[in-house]
Amino acid sequence: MGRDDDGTRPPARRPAMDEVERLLAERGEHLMRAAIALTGNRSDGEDLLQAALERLLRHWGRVEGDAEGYLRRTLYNMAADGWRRRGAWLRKLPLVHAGGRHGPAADAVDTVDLRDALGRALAQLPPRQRAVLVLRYWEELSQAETAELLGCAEGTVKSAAARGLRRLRELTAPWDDHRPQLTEKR
Amino acid sequence: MSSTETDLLHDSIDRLTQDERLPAGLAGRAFRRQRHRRIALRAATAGTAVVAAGVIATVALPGAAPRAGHQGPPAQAGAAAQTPTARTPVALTAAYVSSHTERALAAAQRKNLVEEIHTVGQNYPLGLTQVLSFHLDGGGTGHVVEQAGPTANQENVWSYRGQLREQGLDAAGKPVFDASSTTAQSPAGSRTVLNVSGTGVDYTSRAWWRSSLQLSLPAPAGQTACASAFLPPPVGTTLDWAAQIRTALSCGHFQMAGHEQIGPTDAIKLVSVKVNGPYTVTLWVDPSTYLPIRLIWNWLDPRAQGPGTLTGDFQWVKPTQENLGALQVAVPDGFTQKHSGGLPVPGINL
Repeated sequence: MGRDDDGTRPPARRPAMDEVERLLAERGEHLMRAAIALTGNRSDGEDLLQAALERLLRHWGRVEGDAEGYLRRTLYNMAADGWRRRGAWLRKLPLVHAGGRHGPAADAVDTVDLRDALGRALAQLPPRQRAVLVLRYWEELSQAETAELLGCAEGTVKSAAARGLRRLRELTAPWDDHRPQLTEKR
Repeated sequence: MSSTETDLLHDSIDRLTQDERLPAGLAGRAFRRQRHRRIALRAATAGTAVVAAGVIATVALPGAAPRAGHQGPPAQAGAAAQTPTARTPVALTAAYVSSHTERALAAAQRKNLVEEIHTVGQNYPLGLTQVLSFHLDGGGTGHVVEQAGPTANQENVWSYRGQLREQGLDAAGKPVFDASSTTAQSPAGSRTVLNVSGTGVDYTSRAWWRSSLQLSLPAPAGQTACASAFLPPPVGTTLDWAAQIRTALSCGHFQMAGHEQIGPTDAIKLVSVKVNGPYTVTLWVDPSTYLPIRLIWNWLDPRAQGPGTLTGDFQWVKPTQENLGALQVAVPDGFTQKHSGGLPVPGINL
């Protein structure tokens, strides 16, 4: 059983839908990867991207020709704001993620290299720090570009990146012997 | 291996996502969901000519007038939590007020006060979602299948010892949805089992239903409470507002901002100093009881939906039979019972 995948008749198609499909055909894979990086797993990434698409469609009139920019900003801002907040017990889900999969102690006994550990540790960071790190070090945006996309000050980006990197360092401490120096680029 | 760890982080994200492809039909699902949402919104906000007036009237006099759509009894003395005390002549510090408010909230819980909150959102539609199923996969990831429902402009919330009722209203104070839930929590080895049962009423479709879910969750690992415990952005479902306020206070997330008149009360005003996102929180507490009387979240940055706010006005009342009655959802005559509804979970429609 899926969301609205209930066999109902598809609605009439609109120009917005055609435009969105064109956008996804060109940039969908990259957006999907970003969503997975932001949420830590595929299913949440799909949900996040779908929610961002819904918001794009909802505000189609305001998009003014830059659907990709709008979708990208929405995706990152929804992720940075914690995105899935509905319901008191639903809010326990991030704890489930954190408690269930990402214990560095458990990883220490596995033959997992630092890259894999960093990927999992990223999912344990607060949403805003995670969004900043993905934008800065995966999308390779500058501090100014990241700040503009997230609608915050450059100083906020800088401190979030520094705190995020520091936390990643702590979470991946078992790999200290294999670690190059962690520095924040400008 | 890359020469710097930030390059390594880039590689790790690449590896994490490298084989991922866009799922088929994602745009179609988004389109259908958005279409359903628009239909629900249209129904919920019928009669919007009175929206602005309704919201302003509700916010203007918190606690001083009967609240729009409030179907429960009139609130009783919120000061029941503590013996009223005269305002201290010494300058109040944030630490002093925070610790007293924390204690007042703990006392309110011990004395089993019913917490009543009236919330009004701006750019923050409060919706009733039906959770159809929930399961955890082997990796510990929660999977939720849900169905969006009607959206409200304001909510009345009653919370008491695991019982929660949330009543969504349109701007004119007309009920849009009503939902109650009871959560029983029990440890089961290394897991916690939550039995949640609820009743939902959808005024837009004149339907009601009962539903329950059992959730078996891993016991939460040790948390770094203060690192992530600042009051999250408004979440609509407010079961843990008091607990969240206590945590934020204990972590020193507020500073004093003087006094301000809230209804008849010369309230102590606290503003957030540590934020975990682009929002600020302002808290007003009653100087005679140190219980919160109002909390407002503000989004500062212009974003897709524009700046948003959510205001919560609190009342703390004794658990009299009358006040406990407010926790029950009443199904209006003539509404049809559905037999396939999901667990009603009011919250934010993002």
